[in-house]
Amino acid sequence: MALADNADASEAPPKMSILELKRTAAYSRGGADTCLGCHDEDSAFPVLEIFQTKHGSMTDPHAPMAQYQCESCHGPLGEHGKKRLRKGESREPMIHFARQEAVPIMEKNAICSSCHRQRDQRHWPGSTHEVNDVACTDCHQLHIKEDPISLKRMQVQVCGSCHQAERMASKRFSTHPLEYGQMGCTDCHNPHGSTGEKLLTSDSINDTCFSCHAEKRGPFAWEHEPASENCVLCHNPHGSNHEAMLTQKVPFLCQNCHSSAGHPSLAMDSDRLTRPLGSSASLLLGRSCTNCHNGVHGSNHPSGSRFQR
Amino acid sequence: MTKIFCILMLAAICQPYLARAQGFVGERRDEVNVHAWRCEYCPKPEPRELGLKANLGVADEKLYRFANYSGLDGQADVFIDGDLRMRSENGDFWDMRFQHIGLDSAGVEAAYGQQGHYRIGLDYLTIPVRKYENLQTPYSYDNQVLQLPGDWPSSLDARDFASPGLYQSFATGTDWERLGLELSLNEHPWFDFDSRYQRWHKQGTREISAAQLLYATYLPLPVDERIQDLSASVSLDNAPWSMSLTAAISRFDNEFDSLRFDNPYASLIPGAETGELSLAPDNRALKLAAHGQYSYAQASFVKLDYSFAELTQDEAFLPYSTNPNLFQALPRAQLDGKVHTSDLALKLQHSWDRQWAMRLKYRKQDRDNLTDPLLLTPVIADLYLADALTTLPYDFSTQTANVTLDYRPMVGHRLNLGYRYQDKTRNLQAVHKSEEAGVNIGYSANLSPQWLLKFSGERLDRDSSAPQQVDFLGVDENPLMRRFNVADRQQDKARLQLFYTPSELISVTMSGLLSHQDYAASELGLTDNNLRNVSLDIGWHPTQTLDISVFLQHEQIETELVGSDDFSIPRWQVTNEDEIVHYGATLVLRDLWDDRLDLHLSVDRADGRSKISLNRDAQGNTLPSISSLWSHGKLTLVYRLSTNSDISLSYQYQAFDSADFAIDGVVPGSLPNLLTFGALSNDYHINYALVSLGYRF
Repeated sequence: MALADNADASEAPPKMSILELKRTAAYSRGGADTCLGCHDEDSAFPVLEIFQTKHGSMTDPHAPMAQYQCESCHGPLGEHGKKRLRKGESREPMIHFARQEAVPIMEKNAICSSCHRQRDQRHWPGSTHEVNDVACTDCHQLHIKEDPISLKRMQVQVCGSCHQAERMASKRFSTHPLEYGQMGCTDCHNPHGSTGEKLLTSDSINDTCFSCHAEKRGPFAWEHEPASENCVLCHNPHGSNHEAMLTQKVPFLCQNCHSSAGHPSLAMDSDRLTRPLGSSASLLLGRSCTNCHNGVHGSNHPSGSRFQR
Repeated sequence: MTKIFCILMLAAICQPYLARAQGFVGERRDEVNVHAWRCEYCPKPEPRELGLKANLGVADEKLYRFANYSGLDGQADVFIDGDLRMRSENGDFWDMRFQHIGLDSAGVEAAYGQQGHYRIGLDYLTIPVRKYENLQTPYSYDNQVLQLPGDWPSSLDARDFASPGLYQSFATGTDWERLGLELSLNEHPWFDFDSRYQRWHKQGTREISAAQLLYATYLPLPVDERIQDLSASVSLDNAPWSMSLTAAISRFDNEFDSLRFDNPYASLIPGAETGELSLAPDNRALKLAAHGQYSYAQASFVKLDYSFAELTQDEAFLPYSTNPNLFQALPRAQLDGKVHTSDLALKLQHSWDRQWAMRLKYRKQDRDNLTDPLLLTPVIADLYLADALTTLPYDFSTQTANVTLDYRPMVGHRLNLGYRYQDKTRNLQAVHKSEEAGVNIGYSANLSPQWLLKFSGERLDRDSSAPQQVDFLGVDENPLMRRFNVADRQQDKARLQLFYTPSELISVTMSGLLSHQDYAASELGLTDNNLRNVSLDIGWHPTQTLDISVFLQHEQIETELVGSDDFSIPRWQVTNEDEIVHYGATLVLRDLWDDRLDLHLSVDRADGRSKISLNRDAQGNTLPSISSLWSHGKLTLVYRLSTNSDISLSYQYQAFDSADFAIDGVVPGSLPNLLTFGALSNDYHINYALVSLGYRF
C-alpha cells in the first residue's frame, strides 16, 4: 500500500494514493464525452490527436477507445469531474503518465502491459528497461498523431536522451545509416526486452549482425577466432572514427592478439614513414595488415590459412 | 459428442479472455454500460489523407561522399516525399509513407489491414554506400577476371608502375536494396501470428587486396550478394501462461565465388602470373526458438527460452592455386561445413511485496562446430607449398548465472545488488577456459520532484587458464601473448546520470560513464583499456513557440598495448589515445510572421583526434596525429501558405576535414611493394540548398 509521503498518524488520516482512489471510484456516465467537455482543442495539454492513432480506434475491440475509453488508461472519473470545487479544494487527480506524477512507474507500466504483452513486448517483464524503472511514456507519446519513436530517423534522438554515449557515436566518421532513417536503434535492439544480451533482437551479437552481414556467417574452412566469437571484439557498431567501425587503428588492433615471430610483432613506429618510403611502410600504410591478410572474417580457400586468399 | 467437446474447449480457451480485464481495472467497472457511450465529441479520423512534398536540392558542387547514405549526389536533386492514410468505418486501413523517391536513398513503407484483425506490410528501402571516387586502377574487369593492360611493365618494384597512362578512374560504393513483406494476424487477444520475408540485394564495387608474398595489390571487387530471410512466429497468451514458437530460415548467395587477377609484379616463378581470391561463400541458416512464461503473482514469473540453429556451408573449393606447376588434388570437393548453436535461458523473478524482489537468470550458449577438420597443403601466394595444416573449426560453450536483489525502500527509490558468474570453454582452435565473476550495484532515486539520480557500477574479475597454443597456422606465437578476449581481466564500469527538471519548461541531463579493463596479467598484447564519457544536454521550452537545446559531449578512449619484436620479453609499448568532442545547439521558433512561419536552426561539430605513441627501449616515438572534424549547420524556414500547403527553404552546410597518415599521400608508385588505388580522402565542404513544396489533400 503506497501511502503519501510525510503522513503523520497523529494528524489527519493518511491520504489515499491515486491508485487506491481510482480502484473504488465510479466511472463516468458519458465516457470520453465527459472528458472532452473540458479536455478540448483549447486545452493546455492537447489530447485530441489520439483519435488519429490506433489507440483512438472505436472499431478495434482491443483498443482502449472501444472499451472504457479514456478511463481504460487514466482510471475511473471519480470526483475528478466535479463541477464546483470548494475554496481551497483541489481537483481529484486522474492517473497521469508524466514521470513526476505520484503513481509508481511499475503501476503505470502495468496499465500499458495489460494490453501490450505479445510479440515484441513478450520479454518486457524482468527486462533491463523494466527493472530500471523506465516508464513506457519515457519513450512513447500517445496523444500525438505520430509517435516520434516509431520513425527510425528519430530513434537516435529519443533513445539518445538517456544513451548519450551511443547517440554521440552515431555522429562519427564510420557509422550505420542512421542519419536519414534507413536504420534505427530498433533494427538491432528490442527496447521492450529480448533473450539476447544488451537487448539485441537476436540471441547473440553475431546473429544480430548476420541479419544484414550474412556474408560473414560462414562457417569457413579457416576461421578467424575473434570473428567467429564476437564481432564487437574488433568493431564498435554504434560508430567509430576509424575505418569500418573498428575500435582501433590497424595494425595496433591486430597486435592486441598477434605477436608471432616475424612482422606481426614489429614495433610500427614513425621511422617507417620516412620518405622515400621503404617496403616496411606497407605494414603501417594503406590497409596495413589487411593489405595482405584481406580475409580477416574467415577464408574458404584451401590456401587461405593466412587469410591471404 | 465431438461438437460438445469442441465447444467446451473453445469456452475454456475464451473464458480467461472474457474474464481478463485490460487497462486499469476499477472495482466498479460493471456499473457502467460502455455500449451507451456515444463519443459524440470524439473527432472522427479523416477517411483519406494524402500529403505530398516535392523537393529540389542544389549543391555548390557534386560530391560523391556527400551522397553516402543520403543519396544527394547531384547538382540538382529532384525527389518526392509523402504519406497516405485511409480509414474506413469498420477499421480497414491503408497506410503508406515514402521518402526520397527519385534518389538512390528511396524508401517506401506500406501497410493494409483491419485494425485488431490483420495487417499486411510491405517495405522497400535503398541505401547508397559511397566510399571513394577518382580511384586509380590498372585493371579492367571481364568475366570475373581482373586484367592488366597489355603494356604493363615487368618489375618487382611498384614504383615502376607510376605511369598515369596505365590507369583508369573508378569509384567504390555499393547500393543496398531491401524488400520486406509481412503478415500479422491478431484478431484474438490470446493468439498472434507473425511472418516476415526480407531480401537484401547488394551491388557495386568494393576494395580488396591480394598478397604476392612480400608484395600486395589493391583490387576492385565486384559485389552482387543476396540475403533472404523468412520467419514465422506463433504466440499464445492465456494469462498466467504465455508461449511462442518461431521458425526462421536464412540464405546468403554470392553471385561471385572467386576473383581472379593478373599479378602486377614480375612472376618469381613460372605459373604465378595470376592469382585467385575466394569470396564469401554461399551459406544457409535454420533456427527454431521456443518461449514459455508463467506469471504466478504480480511481478513474479518463471520464463524459459530455448533456441537451436544450424548453419551450413558447402561451396565448392577453389583449387589450391592458379599456378599449374603447383597443382595438388584436394582431399574433398567442398567443406561440408556445419555448425549447431543452442541457447537456453531460464529466468525467475519473485516479488515478495512492493519493496523486495529477486531475479535469477541462467543461460547456456553453445556453438558446436561439426565441420570435419581437413588436412590441407596451402600454396602461399601461388609460389610455394607450405607445410600441411589441419583446419581447426572454432567452437565454444558458455554458462552464465546472475542473481539480483531489488529493494525499494519508498516510492521513487530503488537499490539493487547483483552477482554474476560466467564460465566459457573454447575448443579446437583455441583450447581455453575462463571464469568470470563479479558484483554489480545500482541505485536510482527521485531525490525530489525535480531531481532524478541514477547510478550503476560493476566489477568483474576474469581468471583464465593458460591457453593451449595451437600452431595450426604453422607460425609460432610468442608464449607470453594473451589474447584479450581470453586473458585474465579486471573490468570496472560506473555510470552516473542526473536528470533535473525544475519545471515543464526546462530539462537538464548530465551523465558520466567510466569503463576500465585491466589486463595486468598479460605480458604481451592489450594490457589496458580506458573509456571516459561525459555529456550535458539542456532543453528549454520557455514559450509555446520557442525551443532551445544545447548539448556537449566529451569522450576519451585510451588503450595500451605491449609487444616484443624479437620473440622474447616485452620490448615496446604503444599508447593509443582517442578523444572526441561533440557539441551543438538547436533553435526552433514557431508562428512567426502572422503565425505562418516556423524557423529551425541547428549547428553541431564533432572533433575527433587520435594520438599514437610508441615507446621502445626508453625511446619515445609518436606517429602523426589522426584527426577528423565534422561540422554541420542547417537553417530551415517553413511558411504555411494555407492550412493545406506550405513552402520550405533550407540551407545546409557540411564540412568534413580529416588527416590520416595511413591514407594521405599513398599514391600509386609511392611504395615499392604496395600497388594502391591512390590517395584517398573523405574531405568535403558543401553548401546545399533545398526548396520544398508541400500539400495535404
